[in-house]
Amino acid sequence: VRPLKLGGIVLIGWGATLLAFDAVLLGAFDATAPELALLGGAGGASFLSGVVMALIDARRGPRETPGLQPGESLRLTELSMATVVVCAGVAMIAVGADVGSWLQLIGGGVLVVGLGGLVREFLAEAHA
Amino acid sequence: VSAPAIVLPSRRFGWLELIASTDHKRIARRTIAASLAFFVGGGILALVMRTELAEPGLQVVSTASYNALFTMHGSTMIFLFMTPIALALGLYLVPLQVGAPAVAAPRAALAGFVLYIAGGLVMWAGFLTNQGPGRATWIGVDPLSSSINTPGAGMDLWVWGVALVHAGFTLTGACILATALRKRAPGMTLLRMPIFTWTMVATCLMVVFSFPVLVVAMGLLWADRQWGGVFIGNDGAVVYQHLFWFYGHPAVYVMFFPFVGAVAESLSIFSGRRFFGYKFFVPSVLLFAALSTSVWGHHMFTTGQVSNRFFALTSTAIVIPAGIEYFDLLGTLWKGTIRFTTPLLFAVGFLIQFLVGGLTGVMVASPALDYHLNNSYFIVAHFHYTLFAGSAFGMFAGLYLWWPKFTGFRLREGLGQLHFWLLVIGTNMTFLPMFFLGEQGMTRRIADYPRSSGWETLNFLETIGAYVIALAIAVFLVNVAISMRRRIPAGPDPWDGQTLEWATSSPPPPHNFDVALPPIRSYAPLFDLKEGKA
Repeated sequence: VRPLKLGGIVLIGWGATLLAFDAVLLGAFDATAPELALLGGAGGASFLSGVVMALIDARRGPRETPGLQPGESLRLTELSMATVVVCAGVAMIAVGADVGSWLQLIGGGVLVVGLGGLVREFLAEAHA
Repeated sequence: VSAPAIVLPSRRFGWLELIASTDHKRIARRTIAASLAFFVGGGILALVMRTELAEPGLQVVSTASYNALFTMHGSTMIFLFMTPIALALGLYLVPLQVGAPAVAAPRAALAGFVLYIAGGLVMWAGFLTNQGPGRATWIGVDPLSSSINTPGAGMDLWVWGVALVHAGFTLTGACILATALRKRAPGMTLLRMPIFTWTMVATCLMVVFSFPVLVVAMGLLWADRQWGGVFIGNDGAVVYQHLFWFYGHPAVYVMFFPFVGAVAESLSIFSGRRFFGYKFFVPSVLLFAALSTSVWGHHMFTTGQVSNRFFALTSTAIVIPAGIEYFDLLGTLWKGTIRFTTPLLFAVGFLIQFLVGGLTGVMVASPALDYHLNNSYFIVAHFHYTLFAGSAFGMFAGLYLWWPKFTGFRLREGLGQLHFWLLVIGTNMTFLPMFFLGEQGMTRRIADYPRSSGWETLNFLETIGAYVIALAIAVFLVNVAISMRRRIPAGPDPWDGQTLEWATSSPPPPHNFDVALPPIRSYAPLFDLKEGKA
């Protein structure tokens, strides 16, 4: 099975369509720089993501669909308090930009604790 | 197809699951609940505005408060209600529809939810500040949103709230997209994915590749408010609008495609037929999404600084994929054995009412007409017909259709149909007169209008309509409450469904499927099974 069938084709095709629209905008209309950059940037990002996905799938070997195959097993993550803590830290840092640097400092600490928790979760999963 | 092995941790954490669960179904249910709460909040703001506009003169709020009301109403409905509930439907259903045991990157999905809640609370925290919340319109238009024209912490909180919420949506969209493209079960090839999943793929392509632009725009706006020098002069204002609308127009379709998917699933289930024209629908929805990402400049026709002809062309070209989709949706009903359930009523309501929004969209896609109609109530009517008369009806079609799957019990049909008819009456009573008021020259975002304008009767009618909408939503909430207190078990497949989510229990177990999946030979594997084609 060709790796493009595994999903990369969607991103490549969609990105190529945006790039084609961008080419029309550039070639046939009096386009401005922000217009070309925004449309071309989105199209290029989608196209490149698709190429990367197709390359990854090509290395995984032939399979009809990319998900879990019969006989394979998956460990499900049920909880992640560390993720919540990281997000709380990010929100505190953002709001602290207005409220005051004291909140940003607390947010920074919370973020570090959360990131540490994430590392711990990933290590625990790897050893499970 | 034999089920793959799923390994679940043995420990349970109780209350911790409430805030830190990475189960996509729990995250989606919480997102739906939060977005409905924000919907009620945004609706109350709308009622205050409509009460103010019921007759000439300022009776209820000041002009400054009115500015805050319409800013927070628009921001709440778009950022905190319609977009998150659209993504939540996808987060719940896409893994189930493609036969995956979990969403891709479950921690990122949880982070998306937490950032959404945090951003929403930050945005609404502006009401607690001295100068009130954001009041520079839901698009935070520059230079109105500069610190000189809109001073105060409330506006800053609005900026950060919008940034946090959309960082969260980008994560959620990426998880859903990766699930559809990377987590499909054996047999579920791309062209066997259900219609709803394809509409979510189109939605999430737009989310992933346009929403980050808004996060950047909000960062720049905040820097501009603090230190200035970012959006300078006329060019700066136009650049801000480019950044905003490159997010803003795809966002309209982010609030549309998932509900087209919900309507499509409703129509095929309740007409007892396969979806008509699947192979035309799939490329058309992807083309639709690409065009939607290429039309943002039509919001800027009157600036005179965008390629009007290009954006008029792409905007008008949208009628082609839209026409294909409408044809497919109507074709699905053709010669079907139709069951007039509540989801079907809402789906048909969506089809008819969205047409009004869509066709008036073709009108304002023409620069010549847009110069005349820009900033008038015609525009307000147009986007409320797309987002409320269209998308909200599609959303209710989806909620009534999948509620038994989400909760394990049914909503009451009688109350559902009462909800539908009240909403039809209220919606059209509120938003149809706006077309006429706009054509007569009533501009949007005004707290008052002169008695001599002759707009009094239509405005009063709209206000009554708004209260009828509120009554309809109250009926829905009563329906939810009654159904929760006196539960009628739904079973795994209460509607005779066609796609994989109906092959598992209601609600599904943490790993989605306790039983082996049926053979997947098409986009409707359960329909195949019932027809004996599997």
